[in-house]
Amino acid sequence: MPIVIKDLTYTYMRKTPYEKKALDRLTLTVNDGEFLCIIGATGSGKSTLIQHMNALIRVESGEMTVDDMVLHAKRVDLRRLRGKVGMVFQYPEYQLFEETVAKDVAFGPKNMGLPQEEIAVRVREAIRLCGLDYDEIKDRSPFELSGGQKRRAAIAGVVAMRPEILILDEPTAGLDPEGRRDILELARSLQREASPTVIMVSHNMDEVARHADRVAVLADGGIKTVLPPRELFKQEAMLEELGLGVPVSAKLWNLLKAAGAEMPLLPLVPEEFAAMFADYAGGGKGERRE
Amino acid sequence: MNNISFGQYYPSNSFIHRLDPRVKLICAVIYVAAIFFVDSYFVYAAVLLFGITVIALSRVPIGTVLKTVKSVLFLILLTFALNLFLVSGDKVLWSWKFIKITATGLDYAVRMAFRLFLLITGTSLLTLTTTPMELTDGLESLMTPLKAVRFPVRDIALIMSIALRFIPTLMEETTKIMNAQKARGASFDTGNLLKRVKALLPVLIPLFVSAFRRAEELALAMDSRCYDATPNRTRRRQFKINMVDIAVLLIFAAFITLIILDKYLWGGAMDGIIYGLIFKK
Repeated sequence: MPIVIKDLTYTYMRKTPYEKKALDRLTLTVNDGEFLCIIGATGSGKSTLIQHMNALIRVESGEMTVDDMVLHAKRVDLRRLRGKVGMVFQYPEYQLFEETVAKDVAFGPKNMGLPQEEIAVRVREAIRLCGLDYDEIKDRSPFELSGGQKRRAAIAGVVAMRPEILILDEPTAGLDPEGRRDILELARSLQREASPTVIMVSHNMDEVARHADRVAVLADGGIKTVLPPRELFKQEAMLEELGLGVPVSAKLWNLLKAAGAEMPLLPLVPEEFAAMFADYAGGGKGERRE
Repeated sequence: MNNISFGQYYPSNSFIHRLDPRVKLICAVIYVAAIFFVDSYFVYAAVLLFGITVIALSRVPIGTVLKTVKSVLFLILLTFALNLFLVSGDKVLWSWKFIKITATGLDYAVRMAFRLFLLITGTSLLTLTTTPMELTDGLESLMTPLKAVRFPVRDIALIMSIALRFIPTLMEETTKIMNAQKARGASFDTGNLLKRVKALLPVLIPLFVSAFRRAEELALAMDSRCYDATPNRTRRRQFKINMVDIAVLLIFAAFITLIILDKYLWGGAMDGIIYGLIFKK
């Protein structure tokens, strides 16, 4: 179920001195089953864009469809849409409120009006999918969990609604390197097992390079370009001009290229760079060139 | 979230905006008190004209000012209705069964409603043209004499400015949490009152948690910057009364004098004079 957006324009605080155009004729298609990353400097319209995707912001001008649902129509079945499109906000742990983790995770399915047994099944499944031990954690207060566990519990609260599209807004913000790796692993495993399409907003180019199928670059409320990371990160100058950057491996590749050593393919992650460089420098036999 | 306009600063560069906040505060306080001394319709009209002039000078759109009345419109209408039906008098204008409207009642009702209207628009003009920070700084400066009786002026001013500073932050936070819960299927505008109040719990609990966290962080940040380490702090913004401020105070004083004169010396006689002029009795 693809998301198709055409000429989406949105202005905050219309007709006041604080008026601000957040999206300007934005056009984008999100394909089925892809891991799409959205990057862009602060204020480029990322948050406004993703909030349109499950109608937290209603379409003001332009067209937008999610699967068979027309979001620029006057009436939208919000309950159905929000079951389809799950949204994990930045620092999702700040939305936890129930006495126990199980109750908190059940909040979404309960709002969807599901029967009791179905809710119980989904809660158990969501907590497991998010890498937590159901029996150990279900009766604990969400406020006494560790930082990483809180975030997983909060993500489980969205996963329990079984969305087909999962939107993650900077899911790794404020975590240590290990926590970051874990959450991204989680995003990948959720894509395999629960939500085939994942849209992730991120400021970390190494994460983007490692996980994205395609990357959408936002600037001034519009889409600058949408490319696979291997193509995109060749354009270091353009990204830097937008206040963005490239991952370490791409940086090295670009530097080598500038120094006259062009490797055929841009490596996305350090492991890949090492392998390609060994290939290039040692002719594939692993020998060093002195 | 964005339509709460009461007490919201409207940026512009009029001379009303640039006035010393202390002058504006003094004028606002006297204005509120003086409204209760307004006696005749003539002076009501004068106050209205004065208000319109100030609004025009402040370059705040009249619609923005009137929006602040919207939030208390119910109160105004209630006052009007209560006075209209409950004040008894001799001359009955209209009656139906036990309901009766008298000339005195109508007179009272119109005055009270109008008084409230003038009160709200007048005071909202203060907050529309003065930033919260200027307001607190102005209040602090005006309360300085109270230091003599060991009143903690500086602490009160600090508490006020922190409270004001965090209103937008908490509003933003509320929107964020509401969005997060809406994304999980919560709805805040359906069901009866009890249901709606219950629906707010998933917002209020995280909001409180975050407010406490913020308070702790702020306290730490202030401590780490040695807040309160010196007895006499200086301030970045110094107030200086200039000629415009004095002129405004004088004009305002003249205006208040008119109100007082009308009430005590002329006894609301202006109405009679105007009435006579119009109807040539």
